[in-house]
Amino acid sequence: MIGLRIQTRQRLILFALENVAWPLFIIIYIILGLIRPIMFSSTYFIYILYLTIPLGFAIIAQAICLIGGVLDLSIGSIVGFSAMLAGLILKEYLHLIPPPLALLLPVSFGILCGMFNGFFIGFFRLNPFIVTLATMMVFQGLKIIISGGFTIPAGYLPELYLLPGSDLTISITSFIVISVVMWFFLKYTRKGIHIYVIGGDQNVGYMMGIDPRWMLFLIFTLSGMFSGISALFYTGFNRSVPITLGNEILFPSFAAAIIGGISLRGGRGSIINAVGGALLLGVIEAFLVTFAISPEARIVGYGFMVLIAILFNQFRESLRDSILRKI
Amino acid sequence: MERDDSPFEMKISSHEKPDNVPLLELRDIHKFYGKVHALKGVNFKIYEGEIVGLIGDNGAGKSTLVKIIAGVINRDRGEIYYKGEKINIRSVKDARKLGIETAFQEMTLIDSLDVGLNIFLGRELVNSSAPFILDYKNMYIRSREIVNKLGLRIADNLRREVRFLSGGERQGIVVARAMLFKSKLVILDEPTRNLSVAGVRMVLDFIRDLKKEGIACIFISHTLHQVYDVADRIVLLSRGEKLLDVPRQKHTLEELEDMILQTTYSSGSHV
Repeated sequence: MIGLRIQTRQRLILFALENVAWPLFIIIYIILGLIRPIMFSSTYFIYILYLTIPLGFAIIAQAICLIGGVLDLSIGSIVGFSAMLAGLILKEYLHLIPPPLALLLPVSFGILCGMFNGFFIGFFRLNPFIVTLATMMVFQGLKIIISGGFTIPAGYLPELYLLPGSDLTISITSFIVISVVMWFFLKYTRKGIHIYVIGGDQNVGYMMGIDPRWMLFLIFTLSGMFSGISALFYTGFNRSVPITLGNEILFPSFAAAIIGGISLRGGRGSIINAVGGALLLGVIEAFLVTFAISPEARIVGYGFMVLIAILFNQFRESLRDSILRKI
Repeated sequence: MERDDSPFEMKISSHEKPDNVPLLELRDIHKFYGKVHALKGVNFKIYEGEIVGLIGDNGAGKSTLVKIIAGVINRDRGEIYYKGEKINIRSVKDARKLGIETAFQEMTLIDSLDVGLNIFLGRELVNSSAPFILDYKNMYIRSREIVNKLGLRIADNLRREVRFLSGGERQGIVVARAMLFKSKLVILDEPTRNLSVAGVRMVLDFIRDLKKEGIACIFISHTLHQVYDVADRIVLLSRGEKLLDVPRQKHTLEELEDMILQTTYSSGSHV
């Protein structure tokens, strides 16, 4: 029986549409570089990567949630809270904690915060939007309370703790390795595919023996874990824990995941493309830094970026659907 | 609802001959949805290799009954016996352990996943040497075999997202899944919806094959005619009650139609 074969040209268009974040990153980098030639310098490129990696982990967190058909508004707050809590513990009890174990502190706090979200969303079937809106405020407030209003300066944190976020090679290597591991987990393991199933339709998942309660718990736990990893890299990047840490993560995490082709409808998208979206965002951010733009204007910019990302993704998806329907 | 800790707590039919013990027996099953009494003390049994045609109007309780058997919903009252032993079916996994495979009326497909993954949904194959890695190759090979066996023309499109398939093809995937995982009892809830004439014939052939292999089947339909062709026994549900439970071969289609009309009218149900 001769089935319907996908023509090569259409296959190419589909591939480009699915992975559009990467070509878009290169094109926009070149365009912005032509406007601001300083962006082509190697130090600036390193700066862009630097800028992107801590945020990149938060973007992976958001991407996992969106694939699972939910969203996590508390990611930025978890980053700030777990960085602050880990930093304070290291500041007070540095002599008690072996340095390698210190690296696990913010990650564990992130996991605990994520489990807290997942517990209410999974087992009490509460709306993820409302739960994470609430915990966003809880973690944000807790961060400020425990900090006492002060930044944790670099001198109080062990050098090994700052290393992942401050050493370029370690930073890039760990980001690539962790992204690839997560991509593999989502596409090639049972639990990973079940995240797509839950994102597609929780009821169908339930009827096919996949428990949505545990899957939602897993999704938010993973989201918390990546927020914790992000906290570790932000701390290294800043060489301190500023009290504002995590305040500007939520919006870009959405924008990058959506530019990377992860649908708000849930059940589709790939981590690798979200990483492409992260780089694209990093380039735009670095470009804006070359102008003296006020923080207020940047907030306006972020707002428009999310809007444009959603519009763009809708267009991309309908184009992709119209091609797939024909073949 | 009862909560038994052990799935097999008492032997009630040890004195009976094995042949006379039903594969699955439900006694006095009640189910409430809020104030709606969806099942009002239904008794139901099915023997190994038997094909039971379950018919009734929309809202008669057919889907509720099979969802209780399939472990999707819990009964509020009543007992379930598997080969004579009292058991509980609390989840889809429990039902699968007993060899119960269900093709639900709701199209249990994930639109954004491809055909191969949808066939193996929740039971994805893993690599034998690295049991945490999915074995896509094997899943596609076995999917191809089964869709070809069913006569579905989607063997070249196994990597296609199922939302782009026609209603008949989607229904075909649900039946293909039952065909692949059949073991003791197969429940088909309105399996012929959206199917072409050829598709309906495939499903009926599949049901006859089940009988040859000694696998029991509950075939649900809202029309008598399809069920009549293959069923050994016809069960009629109406408004949560069992009105009729008769062996097919003793009656002609016309007689059965008359019986259905009489019973449903006398019980005040709409026909």
